[in-house]
Amino acid sequence: MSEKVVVILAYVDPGSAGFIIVSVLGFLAAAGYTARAYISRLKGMVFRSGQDAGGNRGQGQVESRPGRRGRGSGEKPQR
Amino acid sequence: MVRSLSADGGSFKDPAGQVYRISGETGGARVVRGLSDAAAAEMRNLLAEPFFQQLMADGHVVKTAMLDGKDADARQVIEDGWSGAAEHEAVGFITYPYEWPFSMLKDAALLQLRLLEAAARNGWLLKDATSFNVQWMDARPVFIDVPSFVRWEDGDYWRGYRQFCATFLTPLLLTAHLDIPFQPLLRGRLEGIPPEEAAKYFYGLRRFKRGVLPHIWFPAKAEGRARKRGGGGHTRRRQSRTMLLALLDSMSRLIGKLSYRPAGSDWAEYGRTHSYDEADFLRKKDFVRRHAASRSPDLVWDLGANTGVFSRIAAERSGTVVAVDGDQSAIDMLYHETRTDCPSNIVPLVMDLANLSPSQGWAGLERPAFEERGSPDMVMCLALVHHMRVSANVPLRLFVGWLRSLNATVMLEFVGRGDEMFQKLIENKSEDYADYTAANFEAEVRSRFAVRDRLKLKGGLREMFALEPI
Repeated sequence: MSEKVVVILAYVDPGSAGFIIVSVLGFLAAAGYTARAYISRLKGMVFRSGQDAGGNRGQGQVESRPGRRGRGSGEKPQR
Repeated sequence: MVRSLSADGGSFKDPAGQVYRISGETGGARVVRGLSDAAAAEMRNLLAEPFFQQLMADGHVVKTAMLDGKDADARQVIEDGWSGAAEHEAVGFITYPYEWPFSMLKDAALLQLRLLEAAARNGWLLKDATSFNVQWMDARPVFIDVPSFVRWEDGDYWRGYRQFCATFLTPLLLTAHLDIPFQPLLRGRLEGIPPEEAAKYFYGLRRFKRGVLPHIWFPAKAEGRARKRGGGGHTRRRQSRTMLLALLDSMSRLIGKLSYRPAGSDWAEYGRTHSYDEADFLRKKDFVRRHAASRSPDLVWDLGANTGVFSRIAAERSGTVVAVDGDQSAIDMLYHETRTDCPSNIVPLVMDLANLSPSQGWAGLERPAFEERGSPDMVMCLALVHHMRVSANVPLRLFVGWLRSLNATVMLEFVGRGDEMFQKLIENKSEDYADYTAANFEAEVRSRFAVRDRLKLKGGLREMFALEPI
């Protein structure tokens, strides 16, 4: 004869699955965090290599912008 | 001088401590926590931690200091059976999460996550994560349950996750995604909304809304399975700090993106849509300013505050103004203003004025009723009486009698039957509210109050009263 196990719900801690839940969510969040970090790094590398291919314009771009920024903010470019 | 010691009714769950309010005949209540031997040692360690000192300095955690035996109030607490005592800065007016608008619960949730992150980076954890551990000081959320900080021992993990979801995240998701107000749900369930119950709101495609699958649906399934299994099966394993920090980061980003924009609100546009002409509106403001200034009250209740136009005026010369309204979006707007260009001594609360928060929890002492959390020196109810009479069906006699029972100066605006707002209220009602007349109102008032001042507005359709209890 098989024994029937009766689970009395009032005695079951509703948080008994807590460790499993935070472990799975923590793992997924950490994986997502790592993935975002790699994507961000990859974007940075592509962006930098694009700038290098255009003749290393990084510094030059900053210097060539005051005129444009001046129009946008209502400032006149220096003559 | 005799100082009375009273144990806080909501502070019984922690066997290692008990909060007391100690007040003397001249006022000046102090909040002192009695601590067991081990809890006092842990508190000293925590107070010595630089990260914790920084949290207190930044106003994120209530200011706390150990008291020595020379302090008379500490001696009283120790004589009550504790080994040590620590003092916390007193909160002006205690509020509960079921009285906060969406943005207040959201800011409190982000504070809780920020504190846990700071603790985890320094070898500590927060063992609890209930929204009742947050209060408001100067319009900022402040964490008050200092003994929640515990050392992160081997084999530990964030045990407060479930509580955090039940009392912070799930209520926010219900309001942000489904436009279901969380306040009645939290008032009915002080332990928060459990995942299996929350999952029933998010059926069908709703479960794919942001944050629902990981924080409601998955925990509901996992808990359901654990329950069928009969619980247990948990071996002590340590959650890595990296995983915890990543989880906190992901939850902070999720909550940061949640917003609540109700389609229509009765009062949120009040500042632009009230029924006065500019001159009358200025006279009403001047009346409120003059009478608030003449009293300089410590505690003001502004009942039916809507977006807080008059709360702000009263706050210029008052200690604390508790602004209450049933419209969540109006109060949410007021909360945002208290964070920017508004006096920070306003406490905005969402509450049905015909059903103020009752005493709740164990023996009715755990969460005291709204009226038991401080006696107001002044009560403002401007253009509220007609709503109480018509919408809530409260007879004038009962409402004026209740106002008298507060034993405070009252500033009241009576809206006459001829006013278009009163006519709008009764247009679909079969009852004619015959008792609602200016003469009846004045008779009820004069039997309980002395009329100190009055001012007719809108050509006599409305009248302001300044009343003193007799």
